[in-house]
Amino acid sequence: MRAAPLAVLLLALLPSGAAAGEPPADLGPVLPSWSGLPFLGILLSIAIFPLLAPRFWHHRYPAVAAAWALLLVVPFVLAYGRPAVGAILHMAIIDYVPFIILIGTLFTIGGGILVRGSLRGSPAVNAAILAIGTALASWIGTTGAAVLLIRPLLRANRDRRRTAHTVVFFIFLVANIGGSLTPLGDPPLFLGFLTGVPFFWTLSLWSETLLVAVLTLLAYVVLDVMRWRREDPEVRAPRLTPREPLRIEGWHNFLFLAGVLAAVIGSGLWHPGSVVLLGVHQQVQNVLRDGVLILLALGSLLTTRRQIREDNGYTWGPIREVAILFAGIFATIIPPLLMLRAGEHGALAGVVRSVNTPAAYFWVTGALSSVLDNAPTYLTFLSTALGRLFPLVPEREAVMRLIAEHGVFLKAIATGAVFMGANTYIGNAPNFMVKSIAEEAGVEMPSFFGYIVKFTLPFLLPIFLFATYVFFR
Amino acid sequence: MSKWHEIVVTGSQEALRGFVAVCEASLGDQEGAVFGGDIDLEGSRFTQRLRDLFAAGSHHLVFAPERLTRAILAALRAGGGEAGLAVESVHEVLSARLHFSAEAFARDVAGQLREKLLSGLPPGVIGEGIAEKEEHDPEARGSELYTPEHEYVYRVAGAFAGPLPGVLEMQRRARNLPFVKVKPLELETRPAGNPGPPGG
Repeated sequence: MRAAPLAVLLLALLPSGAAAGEPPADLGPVLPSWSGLPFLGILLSIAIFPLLAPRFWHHRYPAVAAAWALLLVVPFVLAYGRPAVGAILHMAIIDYVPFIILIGTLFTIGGGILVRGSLRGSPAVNAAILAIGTALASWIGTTGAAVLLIRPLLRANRDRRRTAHTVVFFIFLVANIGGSLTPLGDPPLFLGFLTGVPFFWTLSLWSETLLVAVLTLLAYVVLDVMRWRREDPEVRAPRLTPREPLRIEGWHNFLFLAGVLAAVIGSGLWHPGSVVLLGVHQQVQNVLRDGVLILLALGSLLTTRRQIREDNGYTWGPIREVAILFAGIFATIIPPLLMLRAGEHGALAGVVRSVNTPAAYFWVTGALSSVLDNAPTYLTFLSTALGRLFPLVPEREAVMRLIAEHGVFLKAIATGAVFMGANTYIGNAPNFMVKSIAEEAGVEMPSFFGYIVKFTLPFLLPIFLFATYVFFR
Repeated sequence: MSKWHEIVVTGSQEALRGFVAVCEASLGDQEGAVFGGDIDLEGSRFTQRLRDLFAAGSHHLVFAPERLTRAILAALRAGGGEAGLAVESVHEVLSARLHFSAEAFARDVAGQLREKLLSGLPPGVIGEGIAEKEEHDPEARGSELYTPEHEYVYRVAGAFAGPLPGVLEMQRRARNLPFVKVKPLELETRPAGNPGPPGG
């Protein structure tokens, strides 16, 4: 109810359809740099509150997100009127709603697949689970792959005294690096897809993904073999009694996942025209895609036994979190994106000037993705690149020219955002979820800084430096 | 239960370990010596910390029960000089104290902590100020992406105090349990007289 006056104001200021096909880039040169502060505030809230005040954050995050969003939206609309409302609606209809529908659909379908049974947590079995998860992540999403495989991995290792390193490398590979090959894999890439990056372009990241994933998996195998040798002999001895056989329940959800894939790919290939929604031009194929995704999620909900979801720990909580927090993120990110898209003409020209090589894009996008959520970070640096190379050119045209003329920049941004989300617990949403599930299964996970010092710096940092040398010199 | 002593020795650690091993073998007692470097020990005295800082590696602490202490001292007096070993001081250990805390997120882990840490304490060891707390938050049930909170949290903190061997046993137990954090071991000592020969 409290949002009603704001909604009335927004409706009164609705832009005409003709003016709202593209985000109103003309605001970019006039926005002050401090209009980006609410965006910084919400990202820092997401990063810091779970560490410093987890209970407060758990119960009050909707209020915090709403506060940051209103701090931006109210003065933004009052100061700039119709163009501001146009920018908000554009962000909501083109980016936010499809994003939430895809994330919710993947989570719902993934939560309907359950791997039962137990394996022996030897280095070979663990490496196989990590490799399968890495391969699956691009097709069912990093969150879906993590939900699917973390419990079987923990069950396989419950007799081992040292398990935390396996969970950390699971976060590296399954919850992050593996999600880099399709827009379904990781939220940043789906945002790129919504911005105009073709669905199959992400497959061109195969060489970067292969190199980083293989090196990370090799590092894990060496570490796990060393720790396996220090386990008690009875843990290492082959089991004489058979373990519970491995089986997949809710397998029909893979058909729904195939449907998701087909719907998303189809929306990138078929262009029947556009419709005007609240003054914003939305492509018909995108509206149909979102409708199909909702039907697929409902199909999964109706055809999957409740017990499977309960055993997977499936609740609506994560979807609610993403819906609420990303409403705040998408609202507050509008000024920074417009300023960055304005390139040298915007208040963030210094940022645009200072990030100017593929290696710089890889590391700056990655460094910020390590401590801030990687999806908005990807959008920010995509806009930085567009603002630098194609200032004030319409977004979709600029994206296509970026791919055609300077594709290595987009590769650096995409891989930086996806890979380096693994650097900390707060870099990517599934990281914290995996940590939490492991702790509830009795695994003592490293602290926030312990994770960085014991694992990110010695293992990931050299691999990312090598990847920079190979791909982004 | 025999008294335990803290012996401060200067010289080579390898040589000292050799002396102690010979003494242990000759007595054949069940209770062996413990080296300060093998346990996490609170450097309680500022002067001791300074000495450690400037002469790192040259001072070694050995803890031993009374009979073994006498044997070690006798052996060091007899042949320590040739091996470059000298006894700097001997203190009687009056008591030891180990502060600990734990935070776990599953009921079975909490049960394991209660069983292996809080019950069956070694003879003479008591729990001091042990505070246990369980929290349930039904709203935190299930997987969460951005607001990770555990549905169940068990917290316990306090200290174990008593004779050194018993507290060392608790330190060993705590180190083998997940989610338990321990502080360095605190010792209460007083200067010892001149212990006589091992048979005395």
